Amino acid sequence: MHASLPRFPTGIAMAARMSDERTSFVAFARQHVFVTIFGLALPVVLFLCFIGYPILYTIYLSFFEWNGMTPVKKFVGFANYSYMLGDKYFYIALENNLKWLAVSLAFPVVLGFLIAYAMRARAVYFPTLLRTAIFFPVTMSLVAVGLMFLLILNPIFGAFDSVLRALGLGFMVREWFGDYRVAIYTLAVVGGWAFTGLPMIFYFAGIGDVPKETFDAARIEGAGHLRMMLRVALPQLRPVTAVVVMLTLFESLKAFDLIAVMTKGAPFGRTNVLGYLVYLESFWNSRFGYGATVSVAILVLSIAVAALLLGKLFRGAFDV
Amino acid sequence: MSSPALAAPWGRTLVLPQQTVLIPLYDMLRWLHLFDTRIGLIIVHGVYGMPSQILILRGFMTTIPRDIEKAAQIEGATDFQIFTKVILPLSIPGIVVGYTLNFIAIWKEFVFALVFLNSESIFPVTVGMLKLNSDRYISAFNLPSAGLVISQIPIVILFIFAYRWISSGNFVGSVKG
Repeated sequence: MHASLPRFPTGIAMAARMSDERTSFVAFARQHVFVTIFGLALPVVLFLCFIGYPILYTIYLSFFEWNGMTPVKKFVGFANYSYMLGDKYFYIALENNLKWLAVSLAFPVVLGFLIAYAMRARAVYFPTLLRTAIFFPVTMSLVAVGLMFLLILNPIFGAFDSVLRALGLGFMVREWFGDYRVAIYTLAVVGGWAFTGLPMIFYFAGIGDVPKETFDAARIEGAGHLRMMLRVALPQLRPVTAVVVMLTLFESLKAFDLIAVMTKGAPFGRTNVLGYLVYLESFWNSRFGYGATVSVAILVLSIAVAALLLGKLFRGAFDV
Repeated sequence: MSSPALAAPWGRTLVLPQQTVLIPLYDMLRWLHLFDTRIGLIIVHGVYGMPSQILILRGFMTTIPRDIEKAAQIEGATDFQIFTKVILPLSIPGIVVGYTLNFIAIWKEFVFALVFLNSESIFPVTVGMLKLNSDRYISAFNLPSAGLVISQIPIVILFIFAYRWISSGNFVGSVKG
């Protein structure tokens, strides 16, 4: 857009005007009271109160033992952390988060890209209808998605098993939520079903921004669809991929709704994810200190991966 | 990152997992006597909707030529007038997109509502639907199914009106920067 303008988060481009008028911040604030209060002070105060402070408080709380009710919090140092590192359920949850991430990167992102490409290449009929149909699950509440798939994957009268049997694939029928080896993948795939629309929309918009001439040139040179995707579209879509990967990553770290609706961590905590473990430990087991510790683990994990992605893989691709 | 440090926290928060702030917010809301009230949940949703809204609206507002704003300034308009008469009308498409996305996000939100509310009378649709399934009607799928369909009606209506803006991926540009 306007590359020369300093891009500021506040609605009105306050910094740009500051540099235009060549004034100090104090003089600017005095001159533009309205902008300063509503464009800067109010959001920043809200941010500090409801986002900044809670994050610090989580870290603070992770050094305490607290049942959530008593006013007394007992300082225990790093005991929560050492307990967490020896906790079997923490590792199961962490592993499940990674499995969820792997499934999310493999299934919805790739599928979303393929569908977006197919629509841009005019390889499908009724692209608008298809786009709506695929994007619609994104707008659905995950609770609704969970209830729906509980019905579809029901072991007694579920539609999915019946279809498999009718196709002669009866040997593939599982206890989709009961078998501890497949339960987390079932959940991740259901989550992926509800997520596919987002990468699709992002890639659809991204491919639209790629100059048409590059595709035409590649076609004249005799490139097939596969080569076009890998050699022409993907390299130019690096910023989009960065955003999509980030979103997928945090979506899989956030995973909570489906687990709360469909399995509640069963069987034997095998479908716990970190987000659900926090909820379980703090609000069911009343171990708020330990819950905060797991929260810190999520925080560290998300910041670390974000820093890694932003710094190494997608340098400059994700200018917020 | 071309913009100074101020931009960074917003971008981060957009992707912050809600569970990391669940316990402090729970504690804070109880301290403010807002636990298990509609207002408490509204405040939390409002604040946590801010980051994405700021990114979306900033994307739209940076496309408004600065000269329009400057012209208004030369004509003697105050900041408030510039905002209400120039910037706001020009960013209506952005506001529509932002509003729609935020409506959908809050309509389908589950974690905050589950933790910060206790009384059944003020449950939002997601938590209420879950209760429908797990409490008394454990083997009856007809009630949750009906709830599922009904809960989607507002989204469908909104989707029909705002579809053109959302599906064109206009909001993508604002995240992409």
